[in-house]
Amino acid sequence: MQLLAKDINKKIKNKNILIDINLKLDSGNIYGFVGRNGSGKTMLFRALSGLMKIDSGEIIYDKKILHRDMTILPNMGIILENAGLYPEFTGFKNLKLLAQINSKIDSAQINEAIIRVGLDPQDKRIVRKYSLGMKQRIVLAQAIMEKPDVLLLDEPTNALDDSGVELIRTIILEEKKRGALILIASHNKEDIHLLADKVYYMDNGNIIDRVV
Amino acid sequence: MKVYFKYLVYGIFCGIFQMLLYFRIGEKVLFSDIILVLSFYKPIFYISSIMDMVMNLIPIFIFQILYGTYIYRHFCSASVYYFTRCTNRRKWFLKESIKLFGYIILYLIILLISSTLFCMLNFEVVFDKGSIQLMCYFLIIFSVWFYITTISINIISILIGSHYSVAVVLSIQLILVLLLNVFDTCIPFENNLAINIILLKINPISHLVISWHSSKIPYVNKLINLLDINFVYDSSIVYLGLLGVIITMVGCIIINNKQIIYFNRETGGL
Repeated sequence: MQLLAKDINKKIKNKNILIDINLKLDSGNIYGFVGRNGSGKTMLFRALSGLMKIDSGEIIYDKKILHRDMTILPNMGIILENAGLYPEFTGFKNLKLLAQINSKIDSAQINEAIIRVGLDPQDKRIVRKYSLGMKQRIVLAQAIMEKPDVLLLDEPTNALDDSGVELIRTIILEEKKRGALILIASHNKEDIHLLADKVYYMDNGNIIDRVV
Repeated sequence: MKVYFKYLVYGIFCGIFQMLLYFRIGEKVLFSDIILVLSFYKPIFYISSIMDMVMNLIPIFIFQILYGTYIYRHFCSASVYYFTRCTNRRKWFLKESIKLFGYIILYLIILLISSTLFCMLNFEVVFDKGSIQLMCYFLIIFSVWFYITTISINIISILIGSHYSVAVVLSIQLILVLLLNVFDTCIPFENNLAINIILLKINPISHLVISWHSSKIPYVNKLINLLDINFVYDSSIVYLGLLGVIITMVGCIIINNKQIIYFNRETGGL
């Protein structure tokens, strides 16, 4: 399957956030997005996911146009920087609540996703009490638990120690092997270098360069 | 959401609180009086009576504050992860609204039961003729009002944040109560002009005062109709019902078009 972005533009409060973005992304590949803070990486992920509407252009997935044929990108897993879970619930309860929206997976599969990111599904602590690294892991668990076709990962290795980073990289490569289309935005050059098949450089809402 | 069940306990305290304000002496209490007390009893347009009405708003305010984030909370925490899974936000909003309405009915029933049980501990409660009809009116009219105001808080919260929305909706209700006195000062109700009745009927708060209504059933009408005007329940149900439908439609539009650009505005996350 293919995700296409055709001339997408977005303005917020008279500021151009995304300018003439064109992308052609295929399943089974990892695409890296790099750029300094405020360059538009997270906004691009929001637009591609459908969480944010674009002012002009088209986002096409599986021959369907976003916001015309579908409201959000179907069967997608996402991590956005600073976006959290319900702080008053345990990790398992958070994932259960999210899984109930589409009822695609059962408790056993939720447990499996939690174990996969190196956490304990029986942990009774609420997410507010989690360390930053644990929060990052549980957020990744929610992104991969339903075996999505598209994964949008904004700074997936943030706040993780070396072993955590290694584990997350392994999971991302496993997801690629499964056939998922993966987009990663990261400040970590090593992440991009090791994982991405293609790298896009962003600046001021533009894609200024592409490296294969 | 199971977490919201615990808030229903507040209904017990509110029910007892309301009864403490009114029933202190005497041997018998009519069940119809319990219903009337829960619906502002028998207010007149003087400021002292209006202040009593404000006291009677407390159970409504408590519910509105506790459930004012029932839908909005999904836009505060985990909004990104919630709404990337929710393909039909309109359907989701309607489902959540129905659940909220269920909580409202439960809260009102708890309020009613706690009031009645508290009275039973201190007095002999007499289930008089017409009280069951009054109870049905109370449940219908108050549930719709609770729904309109609580959904409004949730919707306004999505637009401008929960602190402002609670203040806005609570203030509007207080202003509507005070308007009753203002209208009476400008055009005294005892003159019984058509304009008085129109002003009374367009103020949504008036529709909550059961004792101001009239009924086609003579023994029910005898218990109420304090103002001796044609103010039937059916019109109140239609009026408030229409407001409920309008606010639900507005909510559907706002929620469907809400862009998740900012997240965790209030409760934080990562």
